[in-house]
Amino acid sequence: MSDYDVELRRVTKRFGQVIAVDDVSFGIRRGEFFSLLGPSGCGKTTIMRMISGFETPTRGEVFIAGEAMAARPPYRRPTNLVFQHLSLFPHMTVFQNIAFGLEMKWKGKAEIRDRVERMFALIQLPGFAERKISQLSGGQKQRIAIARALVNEPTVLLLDEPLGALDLKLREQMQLELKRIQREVGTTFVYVTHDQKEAITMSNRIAVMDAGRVEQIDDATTIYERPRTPFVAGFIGETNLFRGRLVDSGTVACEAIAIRTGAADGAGAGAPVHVSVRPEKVRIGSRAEALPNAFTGAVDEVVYQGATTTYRVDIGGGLDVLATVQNAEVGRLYDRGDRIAVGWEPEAAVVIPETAP
Amino acid sequence: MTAASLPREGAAPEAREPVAAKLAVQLGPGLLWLVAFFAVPIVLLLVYSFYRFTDGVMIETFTLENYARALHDTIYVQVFGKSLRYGLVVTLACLAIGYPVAYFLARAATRRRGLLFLALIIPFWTSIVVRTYAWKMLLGTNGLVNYTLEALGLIGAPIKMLYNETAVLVGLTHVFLPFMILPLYAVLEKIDPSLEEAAMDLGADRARTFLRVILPLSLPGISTGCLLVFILTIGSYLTPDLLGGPSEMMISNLIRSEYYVTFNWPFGGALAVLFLIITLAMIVVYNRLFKLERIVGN
Repeated sequence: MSDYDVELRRVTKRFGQVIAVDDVSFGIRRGEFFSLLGPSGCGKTTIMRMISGFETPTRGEVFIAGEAMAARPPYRRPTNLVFQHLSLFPHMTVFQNIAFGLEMKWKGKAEIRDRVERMFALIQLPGFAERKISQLSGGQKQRIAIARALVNEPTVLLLDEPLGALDLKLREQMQLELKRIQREVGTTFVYVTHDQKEAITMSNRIAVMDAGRVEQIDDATTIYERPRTPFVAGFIGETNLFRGRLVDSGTVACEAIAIRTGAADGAGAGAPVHVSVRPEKVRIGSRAEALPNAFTGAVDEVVYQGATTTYRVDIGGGLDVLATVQNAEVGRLYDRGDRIAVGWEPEAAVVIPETAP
Repeated sequence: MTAASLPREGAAPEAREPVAAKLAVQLGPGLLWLVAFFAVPIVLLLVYSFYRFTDGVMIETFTLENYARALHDTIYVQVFGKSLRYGLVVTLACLAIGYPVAYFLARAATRRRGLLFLALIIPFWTSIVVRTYAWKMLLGTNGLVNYTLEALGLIGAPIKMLYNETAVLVGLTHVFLPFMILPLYAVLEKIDPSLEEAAMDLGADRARTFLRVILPLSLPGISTGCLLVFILTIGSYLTPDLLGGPSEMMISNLIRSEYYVTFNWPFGGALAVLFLIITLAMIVVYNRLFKLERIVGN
């Protein structure tokens, strides 16, 4: 059997004339923290709802632990979902909420108490059993919702942007918390989010989606360092994206300039390509002058961000370069209008074929 | 209306004018109306109910015999009992018919909801008399139902469907159904559909999702709707009068006949007072149960 806990085979979902998910195939490995990342409307939530059984694919099939799920309603699938707005039952206590799934499976009272108790330990909220839902803080509700799903020991835990409603600090705390819980229980987590930072922080692998299609599935580093499509390069973090033609594997002609790049695979000479250069890989001033890719231009914009400063430099020919540098010294290095050099190593320039492979 | 707007007015910091004057202006008209046309008649009713009635004449001497008669004569007790039974049956029928409708409305697409609501409200624009006569035309010996059944060859001769208990119960259920649907809708509409999905995700099939999540969360609506329909039903006058026979007489019909047929105002008054007491007692008991429900449920 496959090592996949979840597998989508050529899944398409239409809502009327709208294609929400367009011929998508991928597998999620056992015990993996897998993120579906993309802008709103990209189809990530629809995929999650097809895995949990709330939507049926128009074409294609969903497998969970090797079994086809076609005819199975949500209440007979080995998946559990942490809802976007948590959807805790307001008329039940915390204990009753967590026990709900076990009760539905006709588990005995002693077993239920035991398993709920273990959940309280896992989410580190002992003594909350008799609280009402309305008495909980946002972070506490979050944990209860996770416990209510995990207590059923699902094959796959689906999480639908559950941290969206929390403020930044609490969200970052909960990200680490989720990671810890996932390590402890070893369950496959499928995390749906539009927040690239969240996906990068938590995931073993990320599927980046756009317009109903999966653009790239890789670990966070690969997604960031070697984006395979212009969309991925632009969606994950900031980047300088240049359009040009491949001269040879290692050079891209772009407007009036030539960019020395890393090895280009998947595209032949003359092919239209994009070149992605991350702003933090761009050097400025004297450190840039000797690099294989070095250009001079006028500083157009200076954005101070505390730990770093981002300069936008107009290098002529309608091309702007963003350069993000560490603020190692006190005070600004350059101001608007200064002429400076910008440059980067060939390895920092990633060649992306125009059409995704 | 005036009472509802009071707290807001009072909360405004610049509203420092004499409170008494403001209260008088805001509450005065409503209060006067209530005193003149509600409190005074009730008090009169109460006073009359203790008067003697002999040989068609009301004598202003104190007596309890009206109450004694109302409580001992089985006919009157039966009418009270029947009214309460009708109230119960109609309430349950409205609940059974109204709940699915309210749920459907609450989950209908917003675009379609307006039209559906219109369909629900339109009957309110028609007089209850007209609507009740419509039932007469449907259920009569030569009515549409009998005609259709005969034409289809299902029955040989017309069935007598009017002037019996069934006709009254059908008519009452129809008239009071919206009073069940509206409070149910108000509550169901506020239940987040994702709670149903959460229950199903956790292994509850449709039936158990309903029993464990939707039903408990809609209890306040059920409670309000049932109270409304029950109170309205036991006090109904027109429907039993038009669709029922002599044995379908309800409390209101009885009271009216005492007032306008036998002109026995003291006895009619006693019946009315007893009816009022029973109704209030039921509301009190009901309220207790309902509050208990809320404590348990929330």
